[in-house]
Amino acid sequence: MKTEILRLDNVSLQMSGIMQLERFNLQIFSGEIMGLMALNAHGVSSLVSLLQSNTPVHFGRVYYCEQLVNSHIYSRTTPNEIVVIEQKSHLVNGLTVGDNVFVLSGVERRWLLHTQSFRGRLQELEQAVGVDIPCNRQVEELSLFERCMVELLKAWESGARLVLLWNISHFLAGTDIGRLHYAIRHFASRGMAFIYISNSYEELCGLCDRIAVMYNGSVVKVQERVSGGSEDIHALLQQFTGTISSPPRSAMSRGSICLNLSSVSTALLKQVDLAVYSGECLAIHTEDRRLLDGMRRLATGQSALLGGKVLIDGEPIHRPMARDQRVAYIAENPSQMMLFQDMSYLRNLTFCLPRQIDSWFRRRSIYRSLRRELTPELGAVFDKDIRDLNAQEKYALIFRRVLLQQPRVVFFEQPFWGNDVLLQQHIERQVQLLLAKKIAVVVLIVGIYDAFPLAERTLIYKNGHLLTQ
Amino acid sequence: MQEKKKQYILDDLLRIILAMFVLTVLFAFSCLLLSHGARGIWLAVLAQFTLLGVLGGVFLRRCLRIVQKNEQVMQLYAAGYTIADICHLKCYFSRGTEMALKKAVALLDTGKLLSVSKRQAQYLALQNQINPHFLYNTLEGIRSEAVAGGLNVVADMTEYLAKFFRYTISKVENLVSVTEELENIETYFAIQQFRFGDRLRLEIDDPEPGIQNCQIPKLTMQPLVENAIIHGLERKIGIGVVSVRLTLTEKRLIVRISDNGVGMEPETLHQLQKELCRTAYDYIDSGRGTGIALLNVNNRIRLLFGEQYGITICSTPGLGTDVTVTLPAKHEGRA
Repeated sequence: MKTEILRLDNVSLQMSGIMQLERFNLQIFSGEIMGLMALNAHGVSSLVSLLQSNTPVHFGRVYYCEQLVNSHIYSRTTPNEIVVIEQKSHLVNGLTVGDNVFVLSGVERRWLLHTQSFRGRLQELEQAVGVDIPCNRQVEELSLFERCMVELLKAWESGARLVLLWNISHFLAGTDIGRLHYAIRHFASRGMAFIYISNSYEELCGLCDRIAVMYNGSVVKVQERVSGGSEDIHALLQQFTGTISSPPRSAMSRGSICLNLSSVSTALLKQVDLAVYSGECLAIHTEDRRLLDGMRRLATGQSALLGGKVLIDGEPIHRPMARDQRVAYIAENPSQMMLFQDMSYLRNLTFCLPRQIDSWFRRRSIYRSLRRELTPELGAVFDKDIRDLNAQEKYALIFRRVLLQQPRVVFFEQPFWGNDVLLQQHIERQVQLLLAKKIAVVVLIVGIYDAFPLAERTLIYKNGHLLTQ
Repeated sequence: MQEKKKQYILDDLLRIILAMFVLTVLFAFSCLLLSHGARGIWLAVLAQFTLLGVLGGVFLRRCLRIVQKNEQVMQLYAAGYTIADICHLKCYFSRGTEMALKKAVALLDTGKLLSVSKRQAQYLALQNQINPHFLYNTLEGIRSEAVAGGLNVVADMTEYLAKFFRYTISKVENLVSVTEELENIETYFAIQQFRFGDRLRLEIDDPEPGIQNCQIPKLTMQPLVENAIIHGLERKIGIGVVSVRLTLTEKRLIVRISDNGVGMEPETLHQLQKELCRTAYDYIDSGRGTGIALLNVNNRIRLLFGEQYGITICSTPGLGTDVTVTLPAKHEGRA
């Protein structure tokens, strides 16, 4: 007999007049790891908020441990014992690991606490999951992985029956994810239930017992791990997004070397050799952010070149790459980081033009021709405020800006970070536009699950050294 | 001609409270301005309370009169003297109350009740006309002839059909065991397999010992399996699989019937999901009659066990359909 931990029965939730969840059905049993893959981000944060704090629902019922906690008639005002582990920390700064795990979890109900006793108990828990975090370490000193582990241990100690992990792979490195998965399986075998939210089917398939696919605030499919393969999910994606990912292009489509890093050293990079071909899509995977930060600082001119040479189209450059129009950089989360809210759409679009437009007449003429040329592709967006653009329109704007710059190579940092499946596909289409113009794209990725489908070559770095190609 | 704007008692009460609050503030302020010494203040306060009392009394008396009238009609309705009068009140407490009362009267529409009872009578009459023993004897006769003639396939088909009818039309209990329902599914599936051959496959998870004795409404699973075959797998190219999974928790029995058929279009699914959420009475009101099996089963479950149980469905075109039936975990003997 299974023990039901969570049940959402035809839940409809409305916020600000928009239906965030619509007839949402989900069941989770004790000891189960349920994957949740959102094809679009609609309703995910509302779901998390509903599970944690029993937000009043428009219709439906929510049962936690087979007790009705929320419905269209009744809503329990106290939060459920559901722990959320995400990029934002839920530990209390200024306290130690032991304090957070044993004191704040509410387990210890005595007036006087002997903190030495925590050490032994914490060690016992940590040995079981293969980590070693000192009990008296301050929370601010923890790495992202250690913080996640401490929150998991805290959830276990407090007796939480359900833990929700939200986009963990977006901020944890590959090996850390593996260790976290080990810990999750350990606690699942002891009866704790998990909801694992991720946009990567491969990641979910390797860990979860069942996978629920969510679209527009409803669960459209629940797949058992043993039945159905990835072809089911690709068919599902095609059904809901209308497109499927393009297969990687062959090596025959690439041209000559447009960017060559020859034994390049900076403050964060050590003797990096890299050759990028014209029109090629190259993915660089790294387990930690050091290489990624180093490449970013090099491309944006924040780091000085300490050794080696950078060649573009065979010519060495003697100034920072950021000042060279032939190199473009798209930052992580560009829709937030790379658009100027106070500038118009067209001003944002023409920001990186090779030559600055000083004359008002010339600017007006260029804007007019851009409107004429791009309206069939982008739609009627030119008069919109930047703040009113949706995510897809923002990415389209950023990529058109890069295209107008006419670079030879584009660095793209963490392309899929925090994005749902639909937006990922949109990003792939934008990258294809660059590749069609023979612009090389170098994709920088932290983590092992964010494979970039368009990449023709993949370089995997570990500790700053090339591991495999 | 413009419709006269409806007035509700709740709105009136709120207006009264607001008016009294505003007047209180105004008079308190004016008393402070006009008072000449302590005596003046006391006189002003007394005048203020008198005025408020008079005004409040007038308004409240108006509301009370309407409430008393409504109360009288409600008592008549509860005693069975009237039904329609509760939706002809002069003034309702609130808009929600008005809508609820009108809905209640609509549900009790005698014309529709009569129609339902007529259908029930037709069903009983049909059942009485079919003499089960005559049917079984005839089928047994056909089976014997088939065996004698060496037509083993025909004999098997006849045997399954007899078994199917014996379960479906003879027994009148509301609740049967899961084991019996699963056997009925297998019998039905065996009949269908004569038509579809190897194109069709049925997978039933081995139920745990506790599940086998659970009680569920009769003919819960077979109509859903039939749906899966007819609407899902019939038009499918390739092997069609219907899988039945049962899960038991402390309070619930969950039956999941999945197929890998053609699925259904989003608009059809949306409409179906909407109908599954409607009340049992709305289902009768819609005039569907015996209607779609899915809705029929859902309706029976909700009437028997309550609105928190029933059927949910999700489907994707080209991938298949999953139907989940949620029932209370009942372990007693037959009802």
